[in-house]
Amino acid sequence: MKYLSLPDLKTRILPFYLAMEEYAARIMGEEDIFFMWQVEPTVIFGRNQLIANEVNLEYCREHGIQYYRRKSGGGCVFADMSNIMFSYITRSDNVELTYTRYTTAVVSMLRALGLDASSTGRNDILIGDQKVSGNAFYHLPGRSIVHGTMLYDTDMTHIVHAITPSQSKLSSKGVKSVASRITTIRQHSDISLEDFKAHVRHTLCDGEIMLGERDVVAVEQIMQSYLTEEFILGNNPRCNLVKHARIEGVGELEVSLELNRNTVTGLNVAGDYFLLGDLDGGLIDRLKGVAFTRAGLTQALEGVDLSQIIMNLSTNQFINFLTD
Amino acid sequence: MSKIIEGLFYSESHEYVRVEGDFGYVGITDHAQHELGNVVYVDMPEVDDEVVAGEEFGAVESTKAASDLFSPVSGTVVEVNEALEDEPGLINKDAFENWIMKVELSDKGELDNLMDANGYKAMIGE
Repeated sequence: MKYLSLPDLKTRILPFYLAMEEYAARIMGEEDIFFMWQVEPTVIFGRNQLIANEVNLEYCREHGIQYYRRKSGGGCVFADMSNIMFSYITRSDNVELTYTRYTTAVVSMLRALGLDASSTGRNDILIGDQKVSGNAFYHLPGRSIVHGTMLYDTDMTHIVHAITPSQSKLSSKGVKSVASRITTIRQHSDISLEDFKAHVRHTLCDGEIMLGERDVVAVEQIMQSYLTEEFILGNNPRCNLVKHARIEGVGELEVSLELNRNTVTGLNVAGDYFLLGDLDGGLIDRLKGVAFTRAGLTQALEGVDLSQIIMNLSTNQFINFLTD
Repeated sequence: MSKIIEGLFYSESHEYVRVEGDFGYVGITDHAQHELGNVVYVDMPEVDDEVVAGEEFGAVESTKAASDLFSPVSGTVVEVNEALEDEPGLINKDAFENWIMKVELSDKGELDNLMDANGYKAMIGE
């Protein structure tokens, strides 16, 4: 297995490394590829997860935690600089065999440090009976990408808050995360982070492939696909969302939304507000088919004075109510 | 040993097409579902989406992996199998019965680029 390295030591945003995996899968020869990376505090949710059910966006914004979607399956994880991400790319096509080969190699690497490591059926690697690494799989024709966390140390407060949603769970068919009891390398070993990384690299790899500046540009191009709203929000599975509030001067307001890929497909407004105008034509019809983002809603309601339809409710107030 | 059905067209990325008149029912093969394991989510296209042969049209996620889906044919999606929304595991029960999308084929000539049952059988080594 060859270690894939970058021409510099810059810390990049998470999607860069996901793109680097895809790039590696494109350029690779027969030999397997492995690399490690670290990111500033970031939440990563699975390909088919509903963000609102997995991430506390408000907490993330307050604490400068970034959030991105990946193309592999599975649940939501938190990563920071004291967590080391592992990426493994192989031509092997068989999911079961690939996983087994990879986790076996990682487990024996940890055992070589005297740690009581084992793998589970659910793509996790444990020390004792606690999870130290969670892994996810992205399968392409003739290629497989396995990547995962390796908790050297971590900010437990951020983990707990960032990946626990603030609001009650929405009903959705999307993929749900499974909570696990976690541990870190640090809790079981005195090895420094740099020494640990060196150990991983030397145990798993027997050579290096260095990317050039031109490769980095190509990786950055692939990265763009991870940054679009269409990818991050547009992969939200179908869900139903109910917003409820008492707004001063307006009354009780309850809006039930049906969203598919973050687009409004259904909308129902109820409450004890005073109706002045045409709710269907003036509001509901305008919002159907609209992206459920502040920008999307604002654009759809441009020029609409909602207080002409629902007494005392300004358009801005309504958008805040829906998006908070 | 996986099930392979005569009369269907197969792609190298393990999708099949069952052709009925101008329409094709597209799904993943029994071999593919077996490789992926328990399916927990099917990311399907929308009705009226245009799909292009060889290009991605969705994904299947199992408890083990997420795998891109590549359309074996070009055309317009006229129906998706909504039963898979509630019960994605139907794919594991019978992958050939539980197709993912129905496409109005824009070029039936593309079917010549796909494998028949024997070709697919040889490819997966069974």
